[in-house]
Amino acid sequence: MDDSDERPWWLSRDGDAGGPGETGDAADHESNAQDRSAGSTQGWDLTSMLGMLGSLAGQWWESSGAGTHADHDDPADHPDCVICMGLTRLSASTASEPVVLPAVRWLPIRRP
Amino acid sequence: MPTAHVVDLGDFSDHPLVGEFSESFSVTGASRVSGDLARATASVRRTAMMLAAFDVADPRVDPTVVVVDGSVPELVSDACSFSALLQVSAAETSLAQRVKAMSDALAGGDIEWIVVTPPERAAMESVTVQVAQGCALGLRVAGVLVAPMPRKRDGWPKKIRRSARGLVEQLQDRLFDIPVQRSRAGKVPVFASHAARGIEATGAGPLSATISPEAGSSSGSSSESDGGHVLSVTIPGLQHCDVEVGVWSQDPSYPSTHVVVRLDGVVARIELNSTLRRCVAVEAVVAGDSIAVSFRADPAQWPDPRASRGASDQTGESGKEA
Repeated sequence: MDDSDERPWWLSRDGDAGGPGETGDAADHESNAQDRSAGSTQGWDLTSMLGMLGSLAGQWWESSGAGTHADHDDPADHPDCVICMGLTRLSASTASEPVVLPAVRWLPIRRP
Repeated sequence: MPTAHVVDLGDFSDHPLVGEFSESFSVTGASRVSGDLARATASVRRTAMMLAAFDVADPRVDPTVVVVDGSVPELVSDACSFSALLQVSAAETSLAQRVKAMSDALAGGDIEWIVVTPPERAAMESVTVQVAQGCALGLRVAGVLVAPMPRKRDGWPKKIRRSARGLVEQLQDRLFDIPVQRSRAGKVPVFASHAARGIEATGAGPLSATISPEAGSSSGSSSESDGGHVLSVTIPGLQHCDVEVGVWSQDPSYPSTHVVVRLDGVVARIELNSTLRRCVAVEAVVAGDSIAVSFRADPAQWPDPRASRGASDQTGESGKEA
């Protein structure tokens, strides 16, 4: 049996039918109802997943201390900040001291 | 019959060297405006394209002619500036050495420059300035070719043909010592092999530099009687340029190592010999096509004034270190 063409159950247009714990007539009945609103059901799933990911990212952001980075001026002064540490390492690895040629001393010009 | 390999500078716009060269420089600071950045980017690209053309040129086989649309002196000036930057920042890299080889060849007279212009007044004024800039940079100016000339067989009236010939004669007067030819149907222009170039120690040539101990009358404002010198530079077409003169030091142990001449925005550096490096520039006198820069001895460099006179006697008249 080749299931490779079957779409995952959470993206199936059959809604939750065939999903874990749902079988039989009840599932068929609900399937018909969800056919009419398949788009909104699928959208709700994606939205909730995105929301969950966003929540996890927010938790990581808070736990890392990066949320306070906006107040940091010189990255070298904040070695505990994840962003400052990254910026410091990045600049140390890629940038070199800017080269500035000595300035020209312009002379007064006399025209006889 | 001699042949030449002809390439267009624009053919190298996609050459890998353009990317490699561009990555060697970065623009920092927020004070630049978009126009500066656009010009800087174009300058880097053109210099890289010239470097790519320089790489493919093999004079042992055939001479290579690189057709450049736009100002050649600006291109050479940029190449010299990039070379100076790379010498300060990354002299040991292969790229820095290649750029130096190119800029040395351009400014050292190893590459000839043939200028082509139409017989129009505005174009000829521009060419006058460009030839002056090129000579100041040390370019070997083979000559100026005025083409195409209006011909009788093409139906041009006599008045226009005479006017075009008059403009050519005017250009010849302006650019003394630089060959100026007008195109002739079916004939290849031939310029003298002893093309004029850079600084000539004898004072001859399109750009000549002489150094002489300062005589009291040559610089009225200077009263120095010991250790004073004057560097004289003659550049054809100079009087038609907006001129600025300055000094610049590549080596902090000397007050100045180069005289800097800026002609209509193009910067040329003229290397000073060991005597003038130990002097301080006072002022520049601009008259006609000549610039005279007066120097006085720097006491810190010349503890004994008599030593200054002795050293200057040994340097001869060359403005450039041998």
